[in-house]
Amino acid sequence: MTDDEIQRSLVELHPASAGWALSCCRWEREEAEEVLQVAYLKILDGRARFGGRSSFRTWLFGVIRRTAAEHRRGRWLRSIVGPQWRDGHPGPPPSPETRLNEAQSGHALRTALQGLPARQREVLHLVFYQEMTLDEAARVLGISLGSARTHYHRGKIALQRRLGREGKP
Amino acid sequence: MTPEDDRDLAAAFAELRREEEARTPPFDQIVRRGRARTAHLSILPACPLWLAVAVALAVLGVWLGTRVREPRPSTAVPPLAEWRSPTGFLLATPGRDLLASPPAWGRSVLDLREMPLTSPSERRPSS
Repeated sequence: MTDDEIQRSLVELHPASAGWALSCCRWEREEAEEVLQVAYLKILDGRARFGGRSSFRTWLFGVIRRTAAEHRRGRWLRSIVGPQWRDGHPGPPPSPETRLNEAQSGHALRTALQGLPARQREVLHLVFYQEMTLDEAARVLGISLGSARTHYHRGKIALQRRLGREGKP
Repeated sequence: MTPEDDRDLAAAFAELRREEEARTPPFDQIVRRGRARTAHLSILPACPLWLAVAVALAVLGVWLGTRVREPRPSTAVPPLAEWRSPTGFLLATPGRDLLASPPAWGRSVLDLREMPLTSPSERRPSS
């Protein structure tokens, strides 16, 4: 893929990527945006290269997922070193604006998803939100199809239980 | 889980997706902010790391310096000739004198009975 094709694909997939970054960051908007920034720059600067072994979307989602994991580790390290050395970006507590937006949109689904184990949340997001097949979801997550199927079924049951308890959206 | 449940979930996710997509900042804005942030962080993040390394090296240097300069406790070393092994007594077996000297002609077996079991210096005075 040429640089132009990569940029065009990134723009085209941007809304889906933003949704995936949000899911990887448990709907922390500032964190999700930082992750997206880093992932895009990795790709645009050539630090992450598309090898063509999967679809571009699958690869892109993998990059975003790894970047989110790195970001979490970095944040953990910074929290150990000390809050005074953080890079000026807010940590886990969401900003008042974010909280206001969340309260306004008030999604029981988002809250219910946040309470699920990471794997289940990721599989459900990829299948329902991104409309991927289970096979594609398994490739993004780097797990077997059988494992993805298990997480999918358990996740659906857990999500239904949570939504039933907290009210349907 | 029934197909209806799946449809409900799919509808809820579709609604969530519509909301999120409406709130997503444009691609260009994300990249621009990312570039600005990288430029800002290229100076800052190294500071704590280098500072931590410098402090660690300084502490290590001070610790090593104080260790080297610490005066060693002076212990009086006894002359080598006076040295005795702490386990030397184990070698003082019965009949050692007999075995230490070569056998000689003309000595009676009865003489052996009178041979001291230990060396005179190690023999305890009998009460």
